[in-house]
Amino acid sequence: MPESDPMQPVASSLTQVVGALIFSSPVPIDADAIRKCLKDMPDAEDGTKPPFRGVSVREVQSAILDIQQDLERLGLGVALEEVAGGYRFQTQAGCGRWVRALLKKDKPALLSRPSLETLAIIAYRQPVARSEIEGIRGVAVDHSVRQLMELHLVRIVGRSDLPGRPFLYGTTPLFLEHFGLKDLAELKEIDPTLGRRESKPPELPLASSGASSDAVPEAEVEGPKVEDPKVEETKSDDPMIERSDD
Amino acid sequence: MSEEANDTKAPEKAEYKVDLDVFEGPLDLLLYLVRKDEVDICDISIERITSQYMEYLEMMRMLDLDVAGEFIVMASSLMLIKSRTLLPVESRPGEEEDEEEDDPRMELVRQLVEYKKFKDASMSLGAKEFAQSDRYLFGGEVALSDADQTAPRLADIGLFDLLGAFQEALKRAPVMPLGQLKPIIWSVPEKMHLIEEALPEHPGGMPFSRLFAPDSPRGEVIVSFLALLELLKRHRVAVRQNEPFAEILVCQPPPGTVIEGGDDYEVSDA
Repeated sequence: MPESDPMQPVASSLTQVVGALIFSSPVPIDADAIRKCLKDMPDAEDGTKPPFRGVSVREVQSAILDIQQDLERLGLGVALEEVAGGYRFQTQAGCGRWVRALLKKDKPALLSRPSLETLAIIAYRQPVARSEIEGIRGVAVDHSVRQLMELHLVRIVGRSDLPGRPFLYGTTPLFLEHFGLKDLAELKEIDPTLGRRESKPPELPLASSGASSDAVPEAEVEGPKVEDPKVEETKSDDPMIERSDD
Repeated sequence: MSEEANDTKAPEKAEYKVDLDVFEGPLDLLLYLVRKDEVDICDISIERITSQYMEYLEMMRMLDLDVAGEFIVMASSLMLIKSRTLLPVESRPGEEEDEEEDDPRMELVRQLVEYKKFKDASMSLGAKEFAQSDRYLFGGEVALSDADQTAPRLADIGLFDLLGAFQEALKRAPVMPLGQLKPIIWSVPEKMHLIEEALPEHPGGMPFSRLFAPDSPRGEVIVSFLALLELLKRHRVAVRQNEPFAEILVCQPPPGTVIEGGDDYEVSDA
């Protein structure tokens, strides 16, 4: 749908457009998606080509960096952060109490320590069976795994070859958002020794999209280790909707 | 709580169990004991840690905490390791280098070390989560997903820190002489009420030891402690500690964390 209202001003800088796209995107958006949007812009009705069609990912990234630095320098209470492989605006730390007062909101609940431990094990060792988590924590973890799945922080990513073919668990993109992590590789910065030694380091291609997927216990994936967890992304459960109901 | 549940509950019912699901497991207890002793994990004395462990287990039984099976399993593993360390080691010359391997403690130590690393990593994640909880998105959503609404996060204090403090209080409590039986005059709901009422008088936090009068009998100490656990579980109080092994302070919860409404002091456990 070409837009060519002569009355409508046209953005003059790439930074403006990039900022507008990130601002209005419902999920964190990455530089690639922004470049694709710019590139795929159709011609205007009068045949003029829209600007910024030919920009590179690098140029988009540099525009993002400009916005980040400007916001930081001006201290406007808002920052542009990279989470779950994309960018989004967030309020700056330290302003929460006023935001809560305005919105009449309570302090958000945090995960309990046992749940955090279970989650940490799943994050570093994924895909991981429950028995392995229990071996490390030394307690039954059904409760915390179920809870983490209900929160969409964890999902079933396949089945193990072990007897009984138990489910294997992994983290969701929402996990990255929840903790403000760029990607799973960031976990290595916390402790580089905790990943699985034999095979995979924790950077699995899970952060492939901004949307979270629903972990459906019935979902079965053949094979011992799921190479492509995207297979699981069946349900169109929008995390944004999920989170907005208080 | 349904009315029916209220009816069936005898008012003076002393049966009371704290659900330990939201608290920690046996490895946490071992780590706590190691930390308390300020020894290196790799250097633990099985004899010492086993007896300490059993002491805590006994304390949990006394409180009628719902001790999970894992605690018993760990107790038996500790006993097993201990008994193996007591057995004379068959000396085989030329196999000196296997000494490490043969150390019956090794498996436990390895497990503790690994668990501790995950625990530390989970604390770092917790710190990130906490930072995110103060940041908001366009439209006023918090940068977190909806998190756990039920389990308390006791800052850096765990159940075993509390139990340690409880143990101290118990040591001071006089044992009632036999033959002088008194009726049980304290109830958990009543103590919960008293604790909550006392909190505003201590804006900086009420020291744990102030929960009991210095000469409170054991029964009262136990009931007070259970009341504290129940309040924590309901987020009605918070506990903090200014440095490891310092006195635990009981304080009012940060605003907004009270999730179970009403002034209901009935024990939630049916």
